[in-house]
Order: sequence, then structure tokens, then C-alpha cells
Amino acid sequence: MAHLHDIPPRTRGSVEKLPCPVFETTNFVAGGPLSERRVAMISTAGLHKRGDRLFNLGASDFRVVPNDAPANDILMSHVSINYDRTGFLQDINMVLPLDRLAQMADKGEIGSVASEHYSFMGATDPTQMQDQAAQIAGMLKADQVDAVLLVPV
Amino acid sequence: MLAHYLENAGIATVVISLVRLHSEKIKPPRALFVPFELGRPLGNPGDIAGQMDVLHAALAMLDHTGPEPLLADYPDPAPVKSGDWKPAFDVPGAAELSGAALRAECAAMLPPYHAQARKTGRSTFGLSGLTPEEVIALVADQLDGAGSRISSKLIRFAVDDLKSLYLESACLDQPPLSSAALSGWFWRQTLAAQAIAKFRTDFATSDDKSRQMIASFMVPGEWVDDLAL
Repeated sequence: MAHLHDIPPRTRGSVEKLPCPVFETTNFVAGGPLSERRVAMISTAGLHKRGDRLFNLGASDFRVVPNDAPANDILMSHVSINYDRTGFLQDINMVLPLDRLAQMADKGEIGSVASEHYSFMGATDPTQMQDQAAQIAGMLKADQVDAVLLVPV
Repeated sequence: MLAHYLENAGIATVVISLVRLHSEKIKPPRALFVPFELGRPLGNPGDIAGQMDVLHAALAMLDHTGPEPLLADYPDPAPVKSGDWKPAFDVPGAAELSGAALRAECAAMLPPYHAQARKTGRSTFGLSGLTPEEVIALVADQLDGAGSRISSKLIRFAVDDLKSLYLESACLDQPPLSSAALSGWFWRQTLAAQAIAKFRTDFATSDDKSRQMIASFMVPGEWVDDLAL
């Protein structure tokens, strides 16, 4: 029920007013078949390993979430409370589908899963994340990743 | 926006979108709009087939290489049945909010909380760096105006941990639950929610700017309205 009319009014107002930059051009990176791709995820749910730095208001940096991190070691310190968190506390795959990607790799539907995934905190203006995105791009290439799934919260 | 940045750096992307309006404006190269509630981009907890279907639909879009951005729509889910719901264990009721009453309620949550953590091998409790018992003591002391003054940041994360403790407790011996069931029970039925709502009110009128700031991190907007806070 994330159609705008289903979002509670107080949250809907801020969602509707959120500034969205316009990109004049769109690049499309081509690649091989999905069954040969190495896939990473980038979440904006403010995820991090237990004991890692928490996300604070205005944070534009990111955290690394190893693909082999146990679900019990992944916490969420997003500053916003105006979205459901009961899904995440019941199932990590609600916001970071680690088990599902592993299943796809086991079935040969994707080539492999990246060694690391990444998380920002989506409450921050993404235009402040451009440098960090470039840093992540370098890390993804070093890990031979050629496809990224961006997962909101 | 991250999709544009990564694509410009040579990495192919596909976005799961929870707000179609934003994707229409930002125009990432490939986006799958999913009509699920905010916080549940993959659908429903424990629904392996449903989660896989979302992933299949999203990742299949990687084949699209332009020239125009592709924004696809995932089918609407079946309506969620709503209704009264409560946990499988008894929660002591109390007419009046106090530190002692809150401690008693929290004491009833601890056994199911630990049982659920053992059963699932997982807990989302831990942002404050405190134990469950320490979080309970901290929140109860703050409610009574006792104990030493603690930082606003610690109160915020202790409150987040208290919510995790209650909500995970409530999941014991239950099928996957909707947000309406869990949140409705927590915000309407528990003293912990009353305590958090009181913090929100007190902090909002505090002279301390850091307390004022965390007031907005206490109660979700929909419950501020629902409870007429």
C-alpha cells in the first residue's frame, strides 16, 4: 500500500514535497545475461553491522554489510520512524533480501552474489551522497560486481 | 539518484521503488514500482515465494538498455485483513502510567523476547548498547524523573530498543504479522507506548534543543494522529 493515497497523511505530505532533481540524460550500462551477473545490493534503510557506527541525522556516509553477515548482526538505525519496521524485525529479507539472492545464485538464476552490500540512510538528501556513490562504484568494481539492486525502505 | 550515479560510473542498476512519484521525476534507468507499504519493499515477512517474485521481476529489467528509462509496475497485493490482535501471552494491564507499572509490564515481555530471539536466532535490539534490563531501567527511571541525566541520543536509541523488545516479544508463536496488527497492539495497548508518547510531549516543550529534536523520533506520525497526541 505505498500508493500515495494509502500513505498516512502526515508522511504523505513530506513524501509529496520531497525535492527530486532532474537528470537531463540517462546512461544505460549493458551487461551479460542475468545468469552470469554478480549482484550487489544497496539499501537506504540505515543498515549496519551490530557494533558499527549508528546513523545520525543528516548522515550521508554509508556502511558496509558483508554478504555473510548473520541476520542477527544487522541492525537498523535510520532516523525516520514514519515507515514500518515490523517487517524488518520479523524478516531481514524485507529490506535486504540476502537469503533470496543466495537462493537465486544456488539455482543459477544469477551468476553470484557480491561479497559486500552497502547501506545509506535514505532520510538524507541523496545529492549529498554522490561522492560516496563513486566510492562504492570503485568497491563494486573491485568485487567484480556488474549489477546492483537498489532497495528503498 | 544513486542509480544515475552508479550507472554513470559504469555499473548497471535496477531500483525497487516504493514511491512511484519520485521515480517518475528522477527517472532512474530501470525501476520497479512495488505497491507495498513503506518499510516493506519486498512485500511480506516470511513470504519466500512473494519475495522471490519481486526479485525476479526487478532483476529481469537489467536487460533494458534504453533509450528511455523503464518504470514498471508490480501487481497490487491482496488487501490485508485487519482486526483486533494480541500476543499469545498475557500482558499486565495498569490504569496509571508510572515507572513501577512500566517495569512490571516489561518484566512480562522479557521471557517471550528471549524465547523469540532463541527461536529465530535474531534480534534487532542493540542500538543503545545496553542490555534489555538496562534499557527497561533507563526508560522507567526517566519516566519517574529519577536517575542521572542522560544524552538525548541514548534516550532515542533506548526507546528504539524498547520498541524492538516489545514487538519481537509479540511475534512469539505467531505467523508473520502485518504492521497494522503489531503496531496497533503496541501503540494502543501498552504502557511502553504511553511512556514514549509522554517523552515526546515532554521533549517537545523542553528548553534543551537536543531533547526537542528527538521528540520527533518517538512516535510515528500516523500514531500521533490516531492517538490525538
